[in-house]
Amino acid sequence: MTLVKASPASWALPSGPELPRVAPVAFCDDRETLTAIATQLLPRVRNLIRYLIHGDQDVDDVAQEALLAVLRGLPTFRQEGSLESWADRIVARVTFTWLRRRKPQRQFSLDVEDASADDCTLPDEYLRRRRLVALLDQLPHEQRYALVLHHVVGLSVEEIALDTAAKLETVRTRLRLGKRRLRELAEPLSTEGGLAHE
Amino acid sequence: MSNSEQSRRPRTFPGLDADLGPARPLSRADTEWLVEQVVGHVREPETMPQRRRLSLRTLSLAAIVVVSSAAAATVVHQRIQRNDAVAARVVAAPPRQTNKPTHGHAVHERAIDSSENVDVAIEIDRSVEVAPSSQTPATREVPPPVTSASSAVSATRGYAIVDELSAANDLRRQAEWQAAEAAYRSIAAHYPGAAEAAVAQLAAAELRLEHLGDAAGALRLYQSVPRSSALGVEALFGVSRAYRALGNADAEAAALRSLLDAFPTSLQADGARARLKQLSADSTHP
Repeated sequence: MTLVKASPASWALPSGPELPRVAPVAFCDDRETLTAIATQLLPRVRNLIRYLIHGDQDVDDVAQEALLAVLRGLPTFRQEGSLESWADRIVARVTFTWLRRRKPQRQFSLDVEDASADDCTLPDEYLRRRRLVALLDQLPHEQRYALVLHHVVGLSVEEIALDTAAKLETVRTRLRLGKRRLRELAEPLSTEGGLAHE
Repeated sequence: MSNSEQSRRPRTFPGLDADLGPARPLSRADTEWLVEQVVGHVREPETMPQRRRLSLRTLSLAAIVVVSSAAAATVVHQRIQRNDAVAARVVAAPPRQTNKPTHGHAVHERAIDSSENVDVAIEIDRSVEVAPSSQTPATREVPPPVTSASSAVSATRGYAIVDELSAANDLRRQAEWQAAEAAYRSIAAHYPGAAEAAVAQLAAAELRLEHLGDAAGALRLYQSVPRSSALGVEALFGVSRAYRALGNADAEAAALRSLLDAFPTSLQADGARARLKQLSADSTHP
């Protein structure tokens, strides 16, 4: 079992150590192994959280909570899928809980220009993602959450409905409205090559 | 993710992975700190990791603002001090100079008033220095108010640079790229040698590269910033990005290597290494 793939373009970290082929429950008390798992998962966790929440300010706080939930849940990981996919669901749930309990949405001034101006020294794919989240930041968070879970994480409508305690039709509506709004927002950028259309 | 999931994803959505974005990059030190906090609390179900009061980005921005403000204040303060010293020396000279200096350096004839700039004060300083102390007093009287006037002038000029930079920043925020670029270049031209000039020059280069489609012009500006200056690393990284925009991979790689040689532990070093690796891979597998 190879639990962790080395990240080829990791910004902050070198390739992580290959984890031992052991049952997860066996390494739940091993600090070194937990550190390796957390280190490997962190970039993906932060990326998913940033897809889900508005602005950059709270990403690391939510990432701490989510990563802690993942590590504490390791004994329940049944290895039926990849560790990453399993962790994604946990991260999404923690983020959803955080979104529900926090105060009314703050408005940030991040826009597409800000993102590109700030990050102009980074790779193009990074900029593309930043432009996308700048657009997502303009959506209601229910629509955003549904869109990200469906199109980024790859959950089905049924799975999203289950996770968010919403009706199937509600999730479908959120997806439809969110996609339409996103397309409208992306329209001006697509002429500049900012975002591709479906 | 399965194939069906892949096909479900619209082209608008990039994948979810551990690569860069959309979360902002986290430094290695901050990554280690965060992981340590989390791992340290796995065995403590009742407690949550202690959150930082301020986010890392907020702290970074605060640090930049503080350092920038301090630098600007230092520059202004140094100018004021220098011209206070100049004026003090002028005032310390004999109050009435009845003879011309013997070395052929005439004391500047213009009286200083608040409308003249700091260069006038410097001219007077030079004139006083060349006048031998044993000389009989010069013919012209140096007006006593010179100290306060020159200080005010220099302070005004120092504040003017800051104001001009601020105005240029405002233009940039308003996406007035052309006007902002012109404003930055004007600052660099009017205050050569000032700390703010290099900052303005880099900002102008950035606008040319990112918003005005003038990579060649940006390259010239980046290259004109001295590498030995505090902004040398920024300039070198800018050079590499300009070459990238121009499609000159060899020159880009050379610039990145120069950056790594000169500033191996800079904030840009990791990005430079990653880009060099990418360039190397591209050249191996075109």
